[in-house]
Amino acid sequence: MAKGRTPSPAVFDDALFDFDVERASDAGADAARAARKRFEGEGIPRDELRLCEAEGAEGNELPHCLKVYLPPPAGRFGMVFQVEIVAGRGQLRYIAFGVRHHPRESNAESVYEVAHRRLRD
Amino acid sequence: MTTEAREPKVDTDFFSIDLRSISITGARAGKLDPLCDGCVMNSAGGLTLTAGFAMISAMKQQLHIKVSGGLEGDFVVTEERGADEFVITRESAPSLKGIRERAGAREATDEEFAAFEADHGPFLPPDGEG
Repeated sequence: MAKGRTPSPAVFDDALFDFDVERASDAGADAARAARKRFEGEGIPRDELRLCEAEGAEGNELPHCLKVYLPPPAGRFGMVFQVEIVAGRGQLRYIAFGVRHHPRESNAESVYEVAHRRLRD
Repeated sequence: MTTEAREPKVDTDFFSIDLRSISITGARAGKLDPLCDGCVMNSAGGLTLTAGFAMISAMKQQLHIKVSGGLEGDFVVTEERGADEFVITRESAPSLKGIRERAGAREATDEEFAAFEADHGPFLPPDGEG
């Protein structure tokens, strides 16, 4: 495969992933599980991976993070990953799954706010 | 806010309570403040909700509550102060730091991130969302 065309390898921690899925709606849980199965098997295609804002407008800081929208290409859920290094090789670490935007009157956290918090805990 | 929730009522596994008597404490109490409409700081520095309600269920000897209203999310009760007052903290996910330590992984540097994108990208540009 040509350089620059290789799907990104992705890794998930079972406990962290389950924590998010257990708190998601049925539709969200289904989307998350389907995505994980596909990403672990095939990697994440580059045309689904979008760079996160290093410093977002809402104050979220997500350096070296990438996201996918689920279901693709622009579903209401998002999954955030961060590039990490293990044994000298880069891989995408699952950080968070959740709703991209809650209703304006809601005080629930977006997936970006959850990811921001987890990267700093 | 629900008027039915003002008096604790037991309904098998669940009961709802008025959040006006729940104090929010813990490391993220300050961060919760901007999310909270209808809440005030009490004299001890904790956060007391004045609106909203919570559903409480007994799970594995620890009370887990789902909060909606001025705050939203999953919390656990860390202290019960009588029948009407509870101290809660946000339920925490497994630590990312611990996950990385067990995996022998670390965050990438700017150069390593660029090399990763060279191998697997280019990625779609930021869209201003987050």
